[in-house]
Amino acid sequence: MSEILEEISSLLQKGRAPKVKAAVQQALDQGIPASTILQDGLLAGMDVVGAKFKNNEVFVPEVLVAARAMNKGVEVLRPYLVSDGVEEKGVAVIGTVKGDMHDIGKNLVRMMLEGKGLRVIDLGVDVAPETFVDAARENGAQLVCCSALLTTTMPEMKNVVDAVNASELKGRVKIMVGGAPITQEYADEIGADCYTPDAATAAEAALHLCEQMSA
Amino acid sequence: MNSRERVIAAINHKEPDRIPIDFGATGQTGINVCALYRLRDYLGLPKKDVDVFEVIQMLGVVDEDLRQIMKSDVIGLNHPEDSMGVPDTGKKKKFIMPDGTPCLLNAGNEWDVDPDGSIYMYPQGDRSAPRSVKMLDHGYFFNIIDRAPEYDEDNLTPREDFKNFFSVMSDETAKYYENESKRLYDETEYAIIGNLAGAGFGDPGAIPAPFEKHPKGIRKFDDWVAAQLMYPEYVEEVFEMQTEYMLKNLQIYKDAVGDRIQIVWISGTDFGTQNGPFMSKDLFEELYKPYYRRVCDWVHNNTNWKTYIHTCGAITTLLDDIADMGVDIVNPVQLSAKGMDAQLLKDKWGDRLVFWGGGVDTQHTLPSGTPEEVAAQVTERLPVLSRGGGYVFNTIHNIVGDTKAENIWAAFHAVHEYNDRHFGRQG
Repeated sequence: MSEILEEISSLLQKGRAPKVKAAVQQALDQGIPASTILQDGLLAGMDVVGAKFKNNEVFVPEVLVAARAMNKGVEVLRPYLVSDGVEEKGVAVIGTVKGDMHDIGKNLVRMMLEGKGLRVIDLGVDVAPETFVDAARENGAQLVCCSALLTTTMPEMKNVVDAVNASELKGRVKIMVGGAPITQEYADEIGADCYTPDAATAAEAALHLCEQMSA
Repeated sequence: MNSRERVIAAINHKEPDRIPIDFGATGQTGINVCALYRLRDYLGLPKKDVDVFEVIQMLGVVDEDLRQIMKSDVIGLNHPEDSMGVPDTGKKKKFIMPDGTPCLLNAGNEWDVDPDGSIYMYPQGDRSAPRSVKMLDHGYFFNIIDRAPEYDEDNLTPREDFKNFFSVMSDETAKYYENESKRLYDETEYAIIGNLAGAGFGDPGAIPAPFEKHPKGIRKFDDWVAAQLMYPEYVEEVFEMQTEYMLKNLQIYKDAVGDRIQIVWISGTDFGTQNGPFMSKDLFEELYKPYYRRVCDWVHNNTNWKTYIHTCGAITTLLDDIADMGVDIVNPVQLSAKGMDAQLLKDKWGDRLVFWGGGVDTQHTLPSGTPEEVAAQVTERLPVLSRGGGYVFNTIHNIVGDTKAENIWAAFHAVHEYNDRHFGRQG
């Protein structure tokens, strides 16, 4: 792998946003395709951050600054990715369910999904079931990701599952759930497709689901 | 032993005559107004509007009749100003929760109910300032609204940004603490915890400052957390400023309350998440520990108080540092977080740290278990946590609004029964 891509990955892991931006431009100037810079530079760096986060080797601050650095790099790449016709690896809509305004965990999951090369539409907090469905339809999403922190709001996830199943999206999108009170047992009970206990595992599962669905 | 003696024994790592109980003495060992209202009814106590002592979480004041039934050994010496920055002048205003629970707020508070049922409140009751907190329809508490404008990373001004966030305690407040501490000390036998706060360094729940009219600088959660790595000099300057105010306020507070309080509550910063610590051990040691140490050292050099912090989450990697920096008591002992095993905590840190909480899981068991499951969990944990003293019973964090009264009673009654069984019946 070229040195500059390794440098991009390494700078991203340290959260050095301005340097990531400059290195991405340098890689473009060297004639490296945008899709390669994305995959082997930026996303490779986020993969390392995600794995270390899962192993408790790095923590929320490191993930946040790495994600910010990645976004700076992607900003430089975006026009080239568009003109090269590079497709994203999948599309996910994400939000905290109705009645719940907690978004720290949801935001971490969003960053991790983006770090896997997925396009993520963040619907914010207090999101109604029909808003999840409408956004998934409008954006051609493969994934609907729901977060809840409260024991009082986790039943809203069932309403999202029901709303998806009552629409033409049934079977065409997968529903992922997570948040402190959620368990695998609960996900099974409400008919969600996937539960993950942390943000890094969620990103791995999301990518896997998208690959399965496009196969 | 009376309640005060019992708690003093426990926090000095001596086995008291029975396991001490806290019910509602702090802002993280309390009970939401809705649950409190129903619990009073369940226990046959007279119905009454619930006084609110912490507005954002909507925690209710536990009255003496209920405190006695729950057999709490601790009482809180609370701020004369609520978390919206509104002083308690004795005049109250009725506030109805979305589920109908009637409450009383300090009269200076102002709020709106929007057409969708959401309730918004104004900082310091000032309608000319942007609304700072929001309770959703069907909600039980307020969520904090981010209001600070974007900051300029090339021109960071920490002292200017936080000049309205910190303040020196007024003479009036000091007088209130003096009188109220005398009343609690002379007229009750409870252990007294001074809910002073002030050393919650980098508390993500406080940084957005719902009580400030126009917060500015780095105030959003994500920005603040990232700033610890991106602009550590900014964070350090804020902490330095905070320490200066805290040390001044501690002196004023000490002059006011003397040794009538036994414990001082200094910080509610969460250092843990469900799965691990919020930050690396290195970052904690570099950025946080020195400031906490200065505060704790002051307390130990100048008073007989024990220092008390609240931090949720999986914090086993930080507990050596927490003990080292002079913290005596840790709450809420979130045994539902990764690696937080009661036996391990007692074995490794039980001789240095007092554990306050941990009695029953408030994420699953207490809100959704049966009363039998609740009682069984409490009964199983008590012998482990209370071994050798160093333990005060409470649920893990506040009792949330929709918790069933029978489950709350099951949790506390299980402690009463355990105490009766092991230490003999009490009066």
